[in-house]
Amino acid sequence: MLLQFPQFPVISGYGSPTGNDYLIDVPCISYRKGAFMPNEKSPDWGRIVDRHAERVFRIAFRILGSVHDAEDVSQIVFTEAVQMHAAGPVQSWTGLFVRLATLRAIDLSRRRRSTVELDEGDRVSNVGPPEEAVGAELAAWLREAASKLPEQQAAIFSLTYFEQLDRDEVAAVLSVSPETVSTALYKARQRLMSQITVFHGER
Amino acid sequence: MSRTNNPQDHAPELEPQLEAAVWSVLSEPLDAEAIARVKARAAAIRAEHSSAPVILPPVPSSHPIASSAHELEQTHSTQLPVPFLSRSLMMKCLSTVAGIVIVVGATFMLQSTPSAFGQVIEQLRAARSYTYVSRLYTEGNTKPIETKVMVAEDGRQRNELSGETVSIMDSSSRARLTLIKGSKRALVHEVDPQQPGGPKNGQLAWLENLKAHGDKPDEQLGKKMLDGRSVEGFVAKQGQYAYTVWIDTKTRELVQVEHEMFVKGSSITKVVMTDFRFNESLDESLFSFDVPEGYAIQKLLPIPKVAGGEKSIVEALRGYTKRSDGKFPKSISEWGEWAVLFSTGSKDGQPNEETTEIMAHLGSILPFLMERSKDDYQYLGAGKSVDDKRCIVFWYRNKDATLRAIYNDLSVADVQEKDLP
Repeated sequence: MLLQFPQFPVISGYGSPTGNDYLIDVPCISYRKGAFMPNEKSPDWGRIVDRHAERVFRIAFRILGSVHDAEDVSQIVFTEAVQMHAAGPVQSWTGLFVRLATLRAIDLSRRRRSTVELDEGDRVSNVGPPEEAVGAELAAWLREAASKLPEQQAAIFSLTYFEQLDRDEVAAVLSVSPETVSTALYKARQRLMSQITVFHGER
Repeated sequence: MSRTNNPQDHAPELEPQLEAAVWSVLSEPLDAEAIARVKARAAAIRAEHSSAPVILPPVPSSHPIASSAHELEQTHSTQLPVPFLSRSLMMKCLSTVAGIVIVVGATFMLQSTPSAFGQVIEQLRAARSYTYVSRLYTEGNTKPIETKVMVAEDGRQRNELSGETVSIMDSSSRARLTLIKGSKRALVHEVDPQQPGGPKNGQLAWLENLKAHGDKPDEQLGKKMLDGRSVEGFVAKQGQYAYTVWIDTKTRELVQVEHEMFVKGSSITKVVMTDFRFNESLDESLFSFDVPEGYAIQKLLPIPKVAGGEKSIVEALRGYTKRSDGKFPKSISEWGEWAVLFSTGSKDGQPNEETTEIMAHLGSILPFLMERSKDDYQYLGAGKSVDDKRCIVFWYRNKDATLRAIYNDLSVADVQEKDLP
């Protein structure tokens, strides 16, 4: 009998060192340098879009919880990416898209919060069983609470727990030190925990 | 960068209430149609902006990234996009930059070898379709296992193992067709729409890791002759993984990439890849899922989705010990005895659902181990039995330094360093 080993169909014992598409390179967009590099090769934009679109949308959607808003943010992110590439070479498209998607989505969530207070009824709409309703309510609460965090803390929390990057990857994306990530993450969790206690008390 | 669905795997442990909230967010499905719309709109952006003036994007200036990116033109960090540089300022900067370019250019001229490395990395990034030969060196064998790997532009992959077994995978790294030339058998892998893909990048992780590496190597190894070619060596490190890259000193072509096996307990000692060819036309028929004429078809069950991590280790060991009178396997990273055990007593050579599920659990163990340093896990089950006095058969360290152990009764618990054998 020939058994199928699903992850490694042909050669057992040889596969992905990580199983993941790690993001380790430090993204760098240098306006100063890049603005004067007219001979840079044009990247295959279609391929870049194909590779990163889902991630950009996912990051935005996790932060915003709205398909419509996530699409808008995705559009903004890709537009900015084109502009940035025109201004200078992009050394890590992955880093650029992850960073832009996170920051733009947080920015929108904060602006949205300042203009439209989430209606209590919206939090649990279109959900069926009680556990789904609770889940939707929790998700809505977390998004709202995260939007009240300082921007850096919100970004670090989102990248760590929504996008599930590790400390070094978050540090690389945001160009901060790993220690900064740890500190910000600790503060973010403290703030969120203090708020979730209130939230549960209200329910 | 896609990870397990466990928000605790890579970051400080969350308080249960907060973890539940994170789970709620992560469990929300993504709208595939919305993603398609995003792709379509994004694809159209380039054309729209190809002749547009360069503008400074409205990055929040309070952010550290923003502040560094905008330090040149702080006055432009307004809410509305504005032209990047005025013409006079640009001319002034150009003259300054021209001087910098001369200095920097001279520096790079003097350090020509690192740029050869950067050139190869760039070539890898630009690769759409490619082929290479991979050789696996194993303990006790001087002759390596040779596989020709071919990857089409759309991500489909064809592996020709020792010229005898051909595997074709779809763009999600799911095996779809395996052809065994000697016995003229074709294994058709049924695909469930819910079936997970293979580990992202799978066998090609080395390539993704090198593509993600910066343009400068971490180490230079100097020159040597390799198969009659003068080559220069570089070491590129990505986390705990190190790749040795050999580049032709004259043509600057990639000649060889090698790395050691990243899993403790594996008999594979080294992987060496050579004969690289990039962006050459590959015949569509090489990647067809259709069974060639003359082959007897054997259909394999879809591979179920499994939890991965310690749960899959437990379930794989449970499946094994159930069939081995309680004895644990010698290894969880070498699968020879697993194949023998699970082949015994099978009907018509066809694995049943239970066996397929155990294999799925087993298959998910390697990626779990490979995410860790070799010092951060150990399998201790060889020679042990479920009937022995309670003892640890496997332990591992999480990123937050906490330790988990699987016992021979297949229970799992947090442990301290002092509890480890």
